[in-house]
Amino acid sequence: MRDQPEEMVRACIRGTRPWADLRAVGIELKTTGSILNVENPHNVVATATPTDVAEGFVRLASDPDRLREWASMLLEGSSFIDLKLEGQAYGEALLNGLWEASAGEPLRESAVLAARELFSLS
Amino acid sequence: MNLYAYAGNNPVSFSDPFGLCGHPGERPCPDDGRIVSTAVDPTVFLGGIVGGLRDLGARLLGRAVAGIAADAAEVSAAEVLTTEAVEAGGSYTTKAAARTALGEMGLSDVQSTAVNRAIGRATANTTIGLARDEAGNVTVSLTRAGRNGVQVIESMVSPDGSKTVVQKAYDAAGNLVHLDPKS
Repeated sequence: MRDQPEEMVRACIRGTRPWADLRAVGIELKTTGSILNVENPHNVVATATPTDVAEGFVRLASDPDRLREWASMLLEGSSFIDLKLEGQAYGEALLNGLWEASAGEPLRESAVLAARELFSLS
Repeated sequence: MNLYAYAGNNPVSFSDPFGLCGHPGERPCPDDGRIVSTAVDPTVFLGGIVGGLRDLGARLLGRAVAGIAADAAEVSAAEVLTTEAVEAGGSYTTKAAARTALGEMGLSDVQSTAVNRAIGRATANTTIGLARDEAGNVTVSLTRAGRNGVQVIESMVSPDGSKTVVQKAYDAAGNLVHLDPKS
């Protein structure tokens, strides 16, 4: 059975599928130098909850390169990812963690703890 | 010499540390989270700029630094606040201020929603820039001081919301932060 587009995006957000799989649901990601072009002709948008983001952090924590790529796409993919972190428990900590991970910086303790806490509750 | 002149003679309600917001007695900087041209921390900017700030953020920040370098008493607000900057919509230190400005841009629902999602990536220490070009594309610039330098993400959203071009993000050493999503 074919994946629903929003479920495919959420799987990428949770770190269980690579971003390249989004092509299957019509979302094209093309990088040229420092430019990322996102084409999303069907306006597919998936909501990312704090738990989804926490799962991605936990799953990719042991792979710095994938973690950085994943975090970068979460920040840059506003055309197809609706990050619902504002006003949520641990939301700001996770958002700071995304920025740090996207820059290859060590994650601050609050982001790591938030991710573990949220993912353990799910 | 009246040291408060650039704050509209009202230093309690307004601030204008570099004299860039208006002629004395005319239009002081608002104190509502909106940055006209001066509120970006110049130490942050100078610490990490050179590589990556290329669009609106770069232009606004560049103007701010240029203004700082000049004799503040001789800086004309008209020189600093060009038409281009005014049309750009400005820069904001809070999501609420940016969203208020967004609401006044008269965008379609789909474009406004897409821009709003980009604004939602801002953290508490992120400066948010909004700009609209002649084709109707809206660029959201998020500038944030990271541990290794300034991070920038600029997302240009097309009028129908279907295309986004993201220009990103250098650290203090000029290293590209963006990665190719090929895996």
